[in-house]
Formats: sequence, C-alpha cells, structure tokens
Amino acid sequence: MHTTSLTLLQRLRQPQEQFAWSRFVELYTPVLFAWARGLGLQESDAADLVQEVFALLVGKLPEFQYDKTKSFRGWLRTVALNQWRAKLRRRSREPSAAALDPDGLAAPAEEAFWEQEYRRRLIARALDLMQAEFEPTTWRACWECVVNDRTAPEVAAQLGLKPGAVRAAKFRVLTRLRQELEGLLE
Amino acid sequence: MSRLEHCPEYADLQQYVNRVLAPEAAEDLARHLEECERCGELVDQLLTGDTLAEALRVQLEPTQSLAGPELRELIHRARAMQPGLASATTLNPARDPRQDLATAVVALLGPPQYAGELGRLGHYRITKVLGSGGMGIVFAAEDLQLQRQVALKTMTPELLGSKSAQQRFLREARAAAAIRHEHVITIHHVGLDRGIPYFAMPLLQGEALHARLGRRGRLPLDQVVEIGAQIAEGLAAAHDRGVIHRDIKPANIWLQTPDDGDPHRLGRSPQVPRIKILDFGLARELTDPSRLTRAGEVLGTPGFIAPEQARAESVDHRCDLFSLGCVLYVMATGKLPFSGKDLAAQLVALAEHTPPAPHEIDSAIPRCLSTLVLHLLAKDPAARPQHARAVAAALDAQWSR
Repeated sequence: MHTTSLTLLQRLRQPQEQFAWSRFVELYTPVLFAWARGLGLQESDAADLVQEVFALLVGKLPEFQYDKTKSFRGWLRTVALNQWRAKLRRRSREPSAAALDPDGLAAPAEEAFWEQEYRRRLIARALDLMQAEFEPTTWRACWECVVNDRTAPEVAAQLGLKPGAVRAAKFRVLTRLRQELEGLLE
Repeated sequence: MSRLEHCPEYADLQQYVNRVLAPEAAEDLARHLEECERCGELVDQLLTGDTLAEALRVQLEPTQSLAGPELRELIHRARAMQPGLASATTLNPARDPRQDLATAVVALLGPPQYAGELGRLGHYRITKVLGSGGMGIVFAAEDLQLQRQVALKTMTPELLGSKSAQQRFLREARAAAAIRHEHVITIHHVGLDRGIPYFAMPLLQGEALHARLGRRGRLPLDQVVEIGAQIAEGLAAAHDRGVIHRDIKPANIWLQTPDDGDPHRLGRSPQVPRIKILDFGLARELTDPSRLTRAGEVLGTPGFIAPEQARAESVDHRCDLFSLGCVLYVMATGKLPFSGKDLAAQLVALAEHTPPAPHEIDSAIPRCLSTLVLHLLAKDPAARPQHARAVAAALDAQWSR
C-alpha cells in the first residue's frame, strides 16, 4: 500500500514506517553537513558531528512531535547547536584546544546558514531524492515552470504538451514535495 | 478513469493546493486540471507566494553532489541507527548478525519508493533478504524492466570499500555468467549501482541440498547417484570455461522442486530433483594471475574442501572433484568424511585420515559407488579422477545399472 498521504514528519512518529528514518537521513545529511562545515569544522569533524546529531535525533524526534509550539527548523538547530557545544567543551578539556570557549562562538556563518540556506538545501535534496517518483516529462515540465520561472504555455510549446498538462505536472510535483516536507520547512 | 463533470468550486481548488482533499478527489481534480485552462490558471494564482514554489525559484545550486564517499558513508551509518527509533530502545533482542549484514546492505540501496520494498538497486526493486554468506547477500527482487522475479546477489558491505574486492566480485560474476549449463545457475545480468556490484539470477523454487540433508539425514541411493552426476556435469561445463568453483558443498547445491515439468528429466526417476550449482563466489578463472590463495588464508568450507585448499596451496579444477566426493559421501552415508570437534581437528582429519569406505558404513551402498567416492577423496589431486566429465560418466553408468 502507498503511504504517501502522510507527511514525513508524521511517518517518523510511526514505528511501522520503517523507511521514514532512512528518508529523513537521506534528506538531512547534506543539510547538516553543510551546516557543520559552515561552523568551520574540517570534513571529518563535520561528519562526526552530523553522526552525533543523528544519534540524538533517533531518540528525540518522537519527542518533537508533541511540541507544536516549536518550528522544526528551530528545534533541529537547537539540538544540533547543543551537540556542537558539547563537542567543543569535550575538546576544550583536551590540552590542544584548551583556549576554545564554546559559548563565545555563536558563529555568524552558522546563523546565516539557518536563515538562508536550510530551506534551499533541504528542497534541493528533496528534489534529488524524489525525482525518481515522477515521469521524466512531468518532472521536466515542473522544473521549467518553477525553477526556470517560465509560463505554462511556453513550456508546453517546448515539450509538445498542452498547457494544462504542464500545469498539472507542476501541481503534482509541488503537491508531492509539499506533502513530504510539510512541517519541516518552517 | 473518473473525471469531473464540471469545474470544481474555488474552495475545492484551495483545498487541493492545501492538500486537504482526499487522495481520490485530489486525483480527479489533478486530471481535470490537465484539461481545464481556467482552473489551471486559478490554481497557479493560488500557488503564487507559496513557500515551496518561492524557495524553488531562488536559484537552486546545481544538484548537490552526494556522490562523495564520505557523505554516502555518513548516510549509511545514520540510516543504520533506525532500530532505536522504530522500536522501544529498551528492547534489545539478540540480533542475527546475518540480518545486520543485510540491513547494512539495505542501507546502501536506493530509497524505497513503495511500501513492501526494501530499496532499489539498478532497475531492481529489492523486496526481501533471502540469505547471506561470506562474500555476499542474496535478495529477492523484481526486475522492473522485464517484470520478473529474480534473486539478486550483492557484496557484503565490509567488502564494498575495497576496489579490488569489487573487481573480483564482478570478474567472478562474469566468469559464472559465461557458463551456460542446465546444472549451473544462470546469471542474467551483472551490474554496478551506487558503488554496489550485484548480479541477477533466476529466483528458484526448491531448497538447498544442505536443507534436505538436514531434514532427511541422507538420501536414497538413486538420488545420490543422480544428484552427483548432475553436479559433475555442471562442474565439467565450468571447468571447460576455465572456472573452478572452489566451494562445492551441500549449501551450494540447489534442488529444484521435482515437478517443474522440465523435459531434461524425462525418463528419470520423478523423485530426483534437478539441481543447479550455486554461488561461484569463490570461483577464480584459471588464467587469473591473482588466483593464488593468500598465504595462511583458508577459503572454502571445512568439511568439504580439498587438502590442498586447506594448505592454502594453489589449486586447480581437481579440488572441486574432491569436494564432490565429500558431497557424495555425506548424501550416501549421512556422515562427513572428515570431521573433528573444531576447525583444527577437522584440518588434521582432512590431512591425515582416510575415511571409512561408504559401503562399510552401509552395506547397501554398491561397491563401485563406494570405490568412486574414495577415489575422489584421494589426498593427492593426481590420484583422483582427473575430469568432472569422467566422474559424470562413471555415475551415469551406476544409474543405468
């Protein structure tokens, strides 16, 4: 049976949705990795941090579901940031990095990332992952309309479709994306 | 195919955009939008200012390359954390390590697109884990192009990092694919996706000889002879192509359901299944310069390997004949010819002991079969029958007697 009527966030709450976690990881690894790199971490440190964040999220995600007052983005940021600080504190106890003060390091790059890039990277990755669910023409029609900002009749002429079919393709893809990402973008 | 008679209400369009329509109603509306310019434009307007559409419009970077092995590896590890989420973390039942292995491979697959599948590999939908061995994992899968069920074998995850292991896996798959014989499993297709090499085989009905022996202990003599002859024929075909199996054992002999209506079985006893030799996983092409077993490394399965394999010497096709002798021995007598309480004792038995002749264990076993089996079990390859075809002929002669 298709389970496509639930959002990813809803599926993550349900133990029998065995693929929800995989999808979540596929979706968020590049986002979190870019964020960690934005903090100035080397690739291997960034990878470690992302892995630690996921390890926390496995336990914490269900907890998030019950708190409707928080945005997912803000909540994720808090979880990730806390983990980063904990990591820095651990490291500051090591002699080599004794000078680092974690709370003094509210890196501007990190702020900017959450403001501007989170959504963009998340959507780009979702597009990557979900392209396979659509007919190539459907995908192309939506892409031309939305990403390249062209009108339905223009795209229709180019792809040899009716304008209605181009719009419908666009709606289908957007609807599916919105459904998968609902609650995650805000 | 249902279709709306009239244009929907504006409220319905709003509900469609906000995804609160029931799936069927949404589908009807989507179809309507394909035809109706006016409603299409309305929905377009409704989508103006939509967060998602706006975010998409902001120039997207060219698709993030996720091919980087570091990120793939990261995703793989994070996906494997799933059990903590999927079930109560307090419950930690003893886990089957083979299942873990399969889970690890599943984590590498393309994301599942429908319920009931584990993931994708190439144009295959992976639906189920069938089993795993030292070198690989076997899945049940559906070939989406040819729309048929297949068995798909992949490498184990710990071998995936090794380029040479990967090349070896693919080379072996191709070597096996070159053997076309009714008693050797057919390789449909050899592929590589997401860095995972795999090959597709028919999904067989039936059971491994191993499983049957586990239930029955031993087999009727006509079946012993017939199965042995079929293995020998399959080996002859492989040896002709310069491929040695190197791991002939009951787990690698598949007994197909006897009622598969195969014309090759005409005139043969209906209880005798047709066999396929599986898993050329350890097979090497004879011409392959890397065919030497690495020093000290014992490949093959204790209990069925030849003494020269146990000594990690270079081997030729005659090691398969020794293993065939072991398989015949165990089918006829229900006992392993060389056994011991641990690996060391088994290896000593293999190197030094001569097993009792099968007819001494059961006097119903014909002397000529007993002699052939002992001949195959000669420690010195030069003292064994030299060709699989000769063994097949000798067994066929028994059968027609």
